[in-house]
Amino acid sequence: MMWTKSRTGTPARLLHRRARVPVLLIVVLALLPTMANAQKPVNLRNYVPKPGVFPPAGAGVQMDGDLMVSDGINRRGALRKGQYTRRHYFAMLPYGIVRYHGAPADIRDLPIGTHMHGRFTLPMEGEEKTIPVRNYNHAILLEDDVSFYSRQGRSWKVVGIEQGGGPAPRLKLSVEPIGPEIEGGINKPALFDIDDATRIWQDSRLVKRDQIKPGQEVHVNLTWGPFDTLATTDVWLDEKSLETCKELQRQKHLRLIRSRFLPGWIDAVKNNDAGGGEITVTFFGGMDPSLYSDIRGMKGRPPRICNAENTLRTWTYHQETASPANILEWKETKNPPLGSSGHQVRFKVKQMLDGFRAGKIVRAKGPWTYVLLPFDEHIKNAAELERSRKMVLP
Amino acid sequence: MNDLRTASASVAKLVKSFGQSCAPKVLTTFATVVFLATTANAQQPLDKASLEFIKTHCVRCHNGETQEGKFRLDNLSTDFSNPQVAQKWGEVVFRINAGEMPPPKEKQPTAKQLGHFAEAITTKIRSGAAARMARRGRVEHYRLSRQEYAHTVYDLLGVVFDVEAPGAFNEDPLWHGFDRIGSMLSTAPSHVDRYFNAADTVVELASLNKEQPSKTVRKSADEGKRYLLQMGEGWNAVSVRSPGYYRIKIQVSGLPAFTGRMPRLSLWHNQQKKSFAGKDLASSENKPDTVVFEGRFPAGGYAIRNHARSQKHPNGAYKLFRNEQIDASIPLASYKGGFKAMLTKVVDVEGRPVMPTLLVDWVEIEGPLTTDDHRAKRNGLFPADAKDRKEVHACLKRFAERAWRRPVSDGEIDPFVKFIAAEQEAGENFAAAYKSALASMLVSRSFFNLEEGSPDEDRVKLNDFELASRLSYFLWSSMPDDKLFVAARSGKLHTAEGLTSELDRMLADPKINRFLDSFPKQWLQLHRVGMFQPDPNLYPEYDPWLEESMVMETTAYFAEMFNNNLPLREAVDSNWTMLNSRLAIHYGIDVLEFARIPSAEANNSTNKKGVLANSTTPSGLRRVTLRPEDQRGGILTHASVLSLTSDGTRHRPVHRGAWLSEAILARTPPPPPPNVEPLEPVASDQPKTTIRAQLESHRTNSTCASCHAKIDALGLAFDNFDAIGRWRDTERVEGGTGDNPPVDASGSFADGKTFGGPAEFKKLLAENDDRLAQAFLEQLAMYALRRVMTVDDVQQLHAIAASTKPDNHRLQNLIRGLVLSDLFQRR
Repeated sequence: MMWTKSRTGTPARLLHRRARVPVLLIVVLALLPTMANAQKPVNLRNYVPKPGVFPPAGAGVQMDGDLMVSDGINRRGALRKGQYTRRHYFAMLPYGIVRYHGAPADIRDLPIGTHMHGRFTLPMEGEEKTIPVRNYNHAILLEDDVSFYSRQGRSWKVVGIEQGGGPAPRLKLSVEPIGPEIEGGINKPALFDIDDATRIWQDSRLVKRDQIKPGQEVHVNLTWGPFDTLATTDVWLDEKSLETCKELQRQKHLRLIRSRFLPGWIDAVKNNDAGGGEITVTFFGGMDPSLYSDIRGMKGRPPRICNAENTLRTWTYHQETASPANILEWKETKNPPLGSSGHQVRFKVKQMLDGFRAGKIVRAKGPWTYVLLPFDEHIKNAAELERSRKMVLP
Repeated sequence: MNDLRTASASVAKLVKSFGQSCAPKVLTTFATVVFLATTANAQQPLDKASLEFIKTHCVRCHNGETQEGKFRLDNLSTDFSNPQVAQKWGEVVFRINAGEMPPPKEKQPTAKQLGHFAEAITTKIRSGAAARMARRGRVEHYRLSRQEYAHTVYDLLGVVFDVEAPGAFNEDPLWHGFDRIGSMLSTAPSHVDRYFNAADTVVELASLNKEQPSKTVRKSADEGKRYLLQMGEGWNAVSVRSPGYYRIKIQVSGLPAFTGRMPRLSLWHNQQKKSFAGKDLASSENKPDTVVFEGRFPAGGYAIRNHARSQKHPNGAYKLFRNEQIDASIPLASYKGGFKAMLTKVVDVEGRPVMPTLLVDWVEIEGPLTTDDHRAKRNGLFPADAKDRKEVHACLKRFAERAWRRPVSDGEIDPFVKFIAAEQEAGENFAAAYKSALASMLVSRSFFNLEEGSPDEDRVKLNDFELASRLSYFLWSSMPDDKLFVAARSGKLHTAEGLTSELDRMLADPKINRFLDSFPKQWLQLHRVGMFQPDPNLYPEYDPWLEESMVMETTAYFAEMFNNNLPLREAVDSNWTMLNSRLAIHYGIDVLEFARIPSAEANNSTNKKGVLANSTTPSGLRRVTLRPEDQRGGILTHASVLSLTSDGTRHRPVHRGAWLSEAILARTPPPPPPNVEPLEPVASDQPKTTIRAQLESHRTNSTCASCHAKIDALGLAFDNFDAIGRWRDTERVEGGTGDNPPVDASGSFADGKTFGGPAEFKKLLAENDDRLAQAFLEQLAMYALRRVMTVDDVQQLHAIAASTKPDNHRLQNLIRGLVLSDLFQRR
């Protein structure tokens, strides 16, 4: 879904209205088979996520906007749709996936101003007050343009660079879409501002603008432009360059997860009366596959599992509070729902932590070097926990 | 001369019978052996098979002419009470067991012949050792064990002296589990030094003018709070400044886990790292119990500890189970997640405690208490008038007679009176001098030894005072009380009536609990429980509380047998046992019955699970009726016995067999030869095999087979129990390929009777209760008489067993039979 200068109405209304038409269509389409087979239709648009259950495909609404507020610690932020729209505050669902440059990412990896596409649902049960502005404010998926489009087989064919007109004339990159039509995306020829701030990638290096030639198949990342246009931040002239950026981001995310541990939630708990027990964990998706195989391949010293909040924040020194957890069973399912990795693991834990309850979040440490987290990232006391449960608006 | 003539006649007969086929030279030397073996009074002739063995396999090389290895067997005496002779015979057995003798080039005996000869000589050596140990002069001294010392000073003066405190007394050496065998308890200079220190402390604590004021100190959780203590966690709330008699009250709720595992409230000594009092609890969160512990407590810091499981935490020292104060007004069921979610879980999703939990409100310690009983013990200890020398003399004499447990002459007291006077003349005050005199009486050998006999006469029987001490140290591990002294003084204690009367009284006295705790521990060698700590990776369930419970089961079982005067056969086979919730979990028996919070309607009837309501013992164990499928019943299936005969990694059938032979059948097998090849772990590419199968191949070595044939069957019968006493149908084998092999616990006794497993084995063993009674009496007499039984005692032991047979050898009858026997009154 793209916004243009012709949009009217208040920004908030606009946001809602724009989301409503295609989402309703999806809802109807999704409901048809469900209604035929079962008695309980699912209102996908207004689906309320539940702890321990991944949402069905198509749940929620699709929105986009520039990232204007970023709370990397609590995995929250705000998108701004246009010049006159209010910020759309959101929290990532615990299993919510962020992608940047086509690779797994975290909110903290996203530069302010990056134009993002997101899939948002109503608040998860128990999280109704997390975001003070009630809305479709919990994100399952958040992607920059290049991730959003390339994931769905979309690129752009360069038509040329032309000088724009109007009161603030700017250079425009004229492109045509290549690939399938995409819900919530730009499905027609477009003009993106381009100037000396745009990074143009070719052969894994930055090049001059004059390397952009008509007929090239390119990928772009966008941001807000004057008068609610869209401006390019990056243009990739070849796949190799995009792969380079993707790899850099992948490594950056690996570094993050290895230090913060791999998140998942608990499907089932079996307490024993000696302080230990068994927990069944489904790891969240959107991560690099090597993280799962790292844990699965551990020999000798077992993985350790600590508990975490819905923000994925852990408690105090998370390794010290983590329980050694021997792998009893590892199941892998194909085509898991969005948010799930499809890796479900049964662990035998030596210490059954209070946070080990069905639907609660845990993080598993693989064979990775332990690093102490910055002081403000982990939760230390009840007051801090309470503070972390509600987004503080700037 | 008559003896010599008789011996010569025997020699002639033996030469005739054995020597017909021998060469004249060998015949001569062999005759010498036999001659020597039968001439002296102390000789113990060898049996025919052994003589034949020596003739065939030894004498040709070890005679007076060849003397192979500078060793002669042709003239070796059979006086096994002679240490040098015994040593040489020991060498013979050693060489044979080690496979060195006979040399390979010589004619080899069969395994049966080897086994018989080795056992026969071992038996002789052992009986000789017993004879040496039992060899007595006119006066025998049996030093008190340190536990007896502690009981004695308490009963003498009402003083608590902590014999196990660092630097107090050495640990007593054990003889097959017994800590009171006289020949083992020597008195070294270091002992005397410690006796001096102990005597000073004891007298100081007993001084009337230094009676410590009793205080009551209460420690509570903060206002509106309770201490939440999960397993292994404690609240360091009690401090005992000086050892003494204290009353400790604790208001606590003990909440069982959702499975029924009960919390164990323990008064845990932080320095000695052991529990001095404890109780299993099952109470409501809103209706806490007030638990009272009263007794003797050593000095130190104590924690109110949840001892249900105190294994070192898997995360190490940094991370612990919950030990914090919580808001008393908030139900525990609401402690789910939220703040401190990174600590151990408190309640499950239904609000039930996930593990045994204590909620402690306060603890109150009162003491040291000086009761009227204590004051009575010290009454007359100090003279009212220090200047009245007669009174001083009388006080000292009165004390000496109690401390030395015999009449004391004035002449024995005079030196102490003179000592006090001399001290006073040297400027010391009377009190100090008098206390020094008392202390010196406590370092007299008459105090820390039991003395039996008179230096000026050969006496076979004990006098009444010696008998009183033997009786009281047997049953109470302490000195006689006033009534027993009176009986001794009356001169009627040694009579059947006098002894029966006192015995009845003593068996009914609460101090009998000392015997009920001490004897089974020593008899069954329970000190070995936990000696080899099970590998936590193989047996993660094992923990100190389980270990304590194992021992408690066996001692409580013995006490139950005593209290109900049960037949001895129930020691090896029964349909009941004594359990707490920890052991019930260990045995796979329904534990929820234990965790039921007692109600007003509770009665003494047996419920459907066989647990007697309100029938807990002082140790907190309950008598439980067992079903056949529980696979238990009798001491032989107690986890204590099954684990003490195992090492930290696996069960040891040979050790089990040796233990059973020694403790239950009173037959100590010969020690294994040195350098026995250990059983190798199963190779990774070989099929998994049981220990039994490995032992089978081990037994193909003829030097091993003879002993193992007797021992192994006794141990293999319990192969269904693993190293910590859990039932199993398959034997877990580390390494190897394939499935764990099934257990085969079948076997046969020496008399050919076969059994298919532990149940049948126990049944067969219990059927032969005469043999059980004889063996048990031997152990009981060893405990009571403080010496090893010899062949000379066997006849009397058998007579006692015969006297208890009509009533099926009931436990109290056996004790009575021993006490009332002639053996008990013999020196």
